[in-house]
Amino acid sequence: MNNKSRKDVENAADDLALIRRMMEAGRRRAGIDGSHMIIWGALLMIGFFAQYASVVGYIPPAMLMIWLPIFIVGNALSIYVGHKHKKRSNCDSLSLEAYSSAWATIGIGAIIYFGISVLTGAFDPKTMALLSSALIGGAYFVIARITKIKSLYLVVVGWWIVLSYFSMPMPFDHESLLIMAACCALLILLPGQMMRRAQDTPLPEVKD
Amino acid sequence: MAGIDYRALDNIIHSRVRLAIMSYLMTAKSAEFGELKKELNLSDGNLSTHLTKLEDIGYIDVTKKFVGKKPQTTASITDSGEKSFRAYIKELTNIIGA
Repeated sequence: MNNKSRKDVENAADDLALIRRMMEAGRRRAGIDGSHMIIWGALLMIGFFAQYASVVGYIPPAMLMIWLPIFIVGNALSIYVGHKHKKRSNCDSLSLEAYSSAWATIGIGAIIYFGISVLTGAFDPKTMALLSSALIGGAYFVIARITKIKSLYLVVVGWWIVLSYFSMPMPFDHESLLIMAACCALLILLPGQMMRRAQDTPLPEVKD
Repeated sequence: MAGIDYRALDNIIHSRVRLAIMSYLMTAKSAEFGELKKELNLSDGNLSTHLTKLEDIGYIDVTKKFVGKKPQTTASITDSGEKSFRAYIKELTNIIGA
C-alpha cells in the first residue's frame, strides 16, 4: 500500500468513526435519556423495600400507604419528564413514541391490577411481581428493538430471568420483596443512570 | 494498491461537518438548531452555512416557526437525504475494503 492510499483509507475510517458516533448521539437524543428509568427504578426499589420492612415488622403494615404515593408520584414525574424531554429534543420520532408508550403500558397495567385487586381483596404479591416483570421486560424489548441500543437486551434478559424465577412453584415471601427491590435497582435504576451519563457526555468538536 | 478515487463520493456530504449533521439526523430524524449547535460544537454562522448547503440540494428540510415569542429552526432529513447518505456509506465502505 503506498502512502497516498494508506492516508485515504485512514481518512475513510475516520469518517466512518465520526458517522457511528453521530448516529449513536442522534439515536440517544431521539430515543431515551434514562430519566423515566431513574424515576421508576428508585421509586419501585423504595416501594419494595418499604413493603419488606412492613412485612417483617420494622414499620406498621400499610400497603396502600406505600404504593399509592409511589404510583402517584411516579406517574406525575413521568408525565413531567416526558413533556420536558419532548420539548427539549423537539422530536416526534418513533423511538421516543415507543419509549413513552412502553412506560405508559407498565404504569397502566400495574395500576389496573393493583387498584382492582386491592379493592376486591384479591391482591396477590406474587401475581404483581409476575405482572411487573413481564410488563417491564416486554417494554424494554420494544425499546431495545426500536432504538437499537444493544445493551438494553441485557436488561430484557434480566427481567425474563426474574419472570422465570417467580413463575416457579414457591411462596412469595419477604425475601422475594428484597429480590424485587434489588432487581429494580439493577435492572431499571442502574441502566437509567448509565444512559443519562452517556447522553450528557459532550461530543468532541467536529472540524472540516 | 492503487490510489483511491474520492470522486465517487458525494461532494455535499463529504465534508466533516455536513457528514456529522447528516449522520445525526439519520437517527434523530429531526433536530432543533440549538441542539445541533450544541452536539456539533459549532458557531451559529458555521452551522447555518452547512444547513443551507444541505437544504439547497434537498437532503434536509429546514423549518422556521415561533414557539411563543421565540423563533425555532428545525432541520429534518428528507427521503432523498437518507438515500444519498446510504449511498455515501456504501462508497465509503467500498473504499476501506478496496
